[in-house]
Amino acid sequence: MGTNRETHHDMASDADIAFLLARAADEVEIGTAPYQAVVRGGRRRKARRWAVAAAAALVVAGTTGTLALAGGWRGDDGGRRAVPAVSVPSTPEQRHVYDPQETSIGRGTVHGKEWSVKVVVWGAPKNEREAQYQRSRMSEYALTPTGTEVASDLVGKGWVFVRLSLEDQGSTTVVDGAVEKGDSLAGRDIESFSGPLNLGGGASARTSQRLVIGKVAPTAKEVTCTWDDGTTITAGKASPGTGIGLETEDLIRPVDGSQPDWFTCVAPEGKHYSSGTAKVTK
Amino acid sequence: MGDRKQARDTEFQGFVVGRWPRLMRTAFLLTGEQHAAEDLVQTTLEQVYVAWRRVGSADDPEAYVRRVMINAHARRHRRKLKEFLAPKDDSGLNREVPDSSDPIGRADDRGALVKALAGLPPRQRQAVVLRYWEDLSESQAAEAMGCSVGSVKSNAAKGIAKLRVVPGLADTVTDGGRN
Repeated sequence: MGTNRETHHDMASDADIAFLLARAADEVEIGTAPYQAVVRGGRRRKARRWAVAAAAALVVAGTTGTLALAGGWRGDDGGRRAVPAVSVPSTPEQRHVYDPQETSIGRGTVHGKEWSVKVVVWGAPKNEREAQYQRSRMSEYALTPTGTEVASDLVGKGWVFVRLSLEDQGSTTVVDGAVEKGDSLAGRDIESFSGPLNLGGGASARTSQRLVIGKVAPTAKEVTCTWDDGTTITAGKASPGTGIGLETEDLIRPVDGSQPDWFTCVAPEGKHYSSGTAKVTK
Repeated sequence: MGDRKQARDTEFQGFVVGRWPRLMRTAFLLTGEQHAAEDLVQTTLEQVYVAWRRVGSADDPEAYVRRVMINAHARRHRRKLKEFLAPKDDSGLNREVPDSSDPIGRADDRGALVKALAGLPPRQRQAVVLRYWEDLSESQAAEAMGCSVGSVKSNAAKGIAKLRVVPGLADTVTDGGRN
């Protein structure tokens, strides 16, 4: 019920409408709550929150534990520790609403050509005005948040783009998704995606999944990727200050602006990940 | 982890089963149609499921659910306006309303109200439903609609005014719906 005098007055004078609304509402057939259908739909939504770019033919390969993605916010404090929500910087610039934070998480060479993966994290706009400007800034970066129609869809959500660059082929977003405050990965939660080390897509790309990109809780110390033939590769935690070398290194790395750490694993030539798995093993 | 997840699932199931009837009634008033109402509630709860870990532990999960439902309702209107609105005349209300001289029509005032509601612009409909069916305060309705209190007042007043002039419904309203 309303809390002020005007509210009480309005409610009293329009009690007839409220009465009719209550009668009209009784017309609906309530039925049984479709709990299982809700859960199935909810799970599908969780999976879709990270929209995979079709051109790169990435595949959401596996998830264990919670599917909640990321959250909390990190300041650019060098130590890359999570900043509690209460101390989130107040200006859009400080929150990286208009200029994202970018972190390289993997690099290497394939057939003599260099490839690299970076995670681009945009801060959450607080209102529609910030969201509108953020959307225009994303356009300047040639980034489009998948599944959003209007700027207001971005309000209250950070957005993460994972970009794959290949020498001679340019860059493309291979996966992107929203990050909402309160989401986080913990324990052995993991979310991973696999794809080919080329930007061409197509049927051959779908059968040559060599690159695995994923995110894990900051406490994860080791991820093991198992290829289709049963062989494995482990990605350990990068030591603080570890840079990105030209040679492929399978490592778990912190990412500016992201609560989860991220990792890449690359299958040796001839091995694939189509039905492989990625798990937190330490 | 496993025990906590199971506890959350159980809690969510209780929430879904417990809130389903009320949510269905609200959705019915918003959409004016049985299947659209079921669809809206299911969509809403799916989104709640995704965020249940933090929603379930929040002080007021109901407020979050209302916000999600109103957003989902608004989004559908942006996408499929024609699907949800019958042909309208210049007043913004449906042409098809019961004839007040028709006893069958008079008996169908509930249907008339649902049709009249469905003919209101979405924001007016949301304001009317939240204020007069959900019984929310103006500030609670504003929170659910993501707008100012003034906007709620304005939309609710316009919506009520339009409902009051709907032929057939007007007679019912004046006698307090006791026909």
